[in-house]
Amino acid sequence: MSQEKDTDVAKFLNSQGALVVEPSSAFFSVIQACLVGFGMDSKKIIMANTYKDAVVLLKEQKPRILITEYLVGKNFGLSLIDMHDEMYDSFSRIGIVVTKESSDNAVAEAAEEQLDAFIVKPFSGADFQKRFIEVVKRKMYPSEYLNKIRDGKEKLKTKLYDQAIQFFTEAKNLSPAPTLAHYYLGECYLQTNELTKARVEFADGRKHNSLHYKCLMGEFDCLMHEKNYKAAYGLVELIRKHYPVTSARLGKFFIAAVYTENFNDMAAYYEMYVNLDFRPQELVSLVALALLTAGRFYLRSKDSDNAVKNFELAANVTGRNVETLEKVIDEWLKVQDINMAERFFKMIRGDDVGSTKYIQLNFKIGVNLISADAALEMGRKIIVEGKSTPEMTKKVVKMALDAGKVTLAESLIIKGSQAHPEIRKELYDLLDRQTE
Amino acid sequence: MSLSPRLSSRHTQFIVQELKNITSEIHMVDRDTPVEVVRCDRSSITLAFENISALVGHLVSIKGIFKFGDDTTEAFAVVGRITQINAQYVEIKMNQYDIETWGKFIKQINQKQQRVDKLFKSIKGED
Repeated sequence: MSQEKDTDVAKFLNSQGALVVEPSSAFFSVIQACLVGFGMDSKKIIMANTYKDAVVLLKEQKPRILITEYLVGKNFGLSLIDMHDEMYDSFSRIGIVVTKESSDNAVAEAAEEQLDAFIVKPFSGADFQKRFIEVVKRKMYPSEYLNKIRDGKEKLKTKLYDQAIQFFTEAKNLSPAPTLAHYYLGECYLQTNELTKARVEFADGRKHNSLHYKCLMGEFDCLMHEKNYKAAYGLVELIRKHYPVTSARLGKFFIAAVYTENFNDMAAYYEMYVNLDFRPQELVSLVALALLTAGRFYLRSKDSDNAVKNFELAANVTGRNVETLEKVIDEWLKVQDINMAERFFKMIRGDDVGSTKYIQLNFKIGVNLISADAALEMGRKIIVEGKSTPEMTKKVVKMALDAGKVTLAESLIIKGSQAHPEIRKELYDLLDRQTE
Repeated sequence: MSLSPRLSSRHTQFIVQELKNITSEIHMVDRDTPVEVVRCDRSSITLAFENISALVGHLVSIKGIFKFGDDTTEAFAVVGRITQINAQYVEIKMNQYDIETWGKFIKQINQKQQRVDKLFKSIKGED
């Protein structure tokens, strides 16, 4: 680095301010020493060793340089990168992850964010300097092509699509392989729902680099929007073969697999899901739903083994959540397989045993296993305790009427109508039909 | 472009078995202590040792074991001079050390970073 450039970098860094989010004081000290070595004033470097402190410092001090561990306690440093991205445009901020974590999934998750570099710990001083200065210089001296892309991205961020399209179109003429310009044009058209145009841009981008990740994902998103699930699923294979899957993408792969009935691939996706470092709640729900659908599919196809396998995975994904298990039990009851219903009933977690849902499911299954009188008595107790569902209430009233116990039925109707006034008329209709 | 095969993402551990300040003749560590390697250059190592009694310029001797991510282990011994020290870490300029083991450690770190760079760039694109 020349003396003149050295001074430029130092000036640039000192005009920014840096937040280093690092649980280890030793690593913070070394990173701080590196930054000071590049000419940064140590007073401009602040440290947070917890996620909570980092959020406060980020909001209060608004540093333009953010260096963070991938995992800060139980939180992800990438969410700090997200916050940082909301504060500043990509011209004037630097986001770097310096981490012990180097799994493919971690790198892929990070690369999908507005991150400038991913540095693995431990690092050599020279290597850290090389990467850091490279990032700084990209910010200080962007090429004309990247400048256009960045201008366009800012317009895209604020949904000024016409202006964004103008910048990206101009960028196309500034590079011999303007893959990124094509990608962002595609993104503009995708967001304005011009799907054919979007797909053309993504495809043109892939002419320069057939496996360009962003263009591949753009094309996949387009096909999903167009509900062309078969073609989208074709791309899933290609993406899976060449890239690790991120949490955001895996959900879409599950959806495409369900729509194309590629249920045989569910086990492989489940394994990917288990290997993810980061599993947002929406993904958990989506994966459970996809596995339930796969289970239902196999049940309809009379393939009990695979149905059980997928239902069990669905139960595991939600931590044997009683609502998920109820859905599985209902499926087995529909096909009159009481043993299987019981098997999944036994999977209910200890802390849910005795809950209203548990009592209801116990009745649903028990009614198939015990005498009519015993089932009626069981149902009566549940209605009296106010723990029945509308469906259960109707069933028990009908059982009482079938057994000729009209007075009991009447009392159950009164109690049931109090808990579920919306079925009051239906319940009295049952009684009227019996007494006519 | 294919990114397989995947490199192990498991960390390499350094277990210090003995740390002796030759200048002051004080034994600072005499039993197995896992220590984080914070920074590693061609012939210097920075270790996350908190509050050790030594000064810049002191000569130290370290004996330990590298446990690599692929489950192999290598003994590592070094004699070197402290070039930086604070409450969190100590940087040692290594004078006598097992060049082969150190080379293996540096190579593994470089390979990991190169693999990360390739993956990061392929997903992120030019920007």
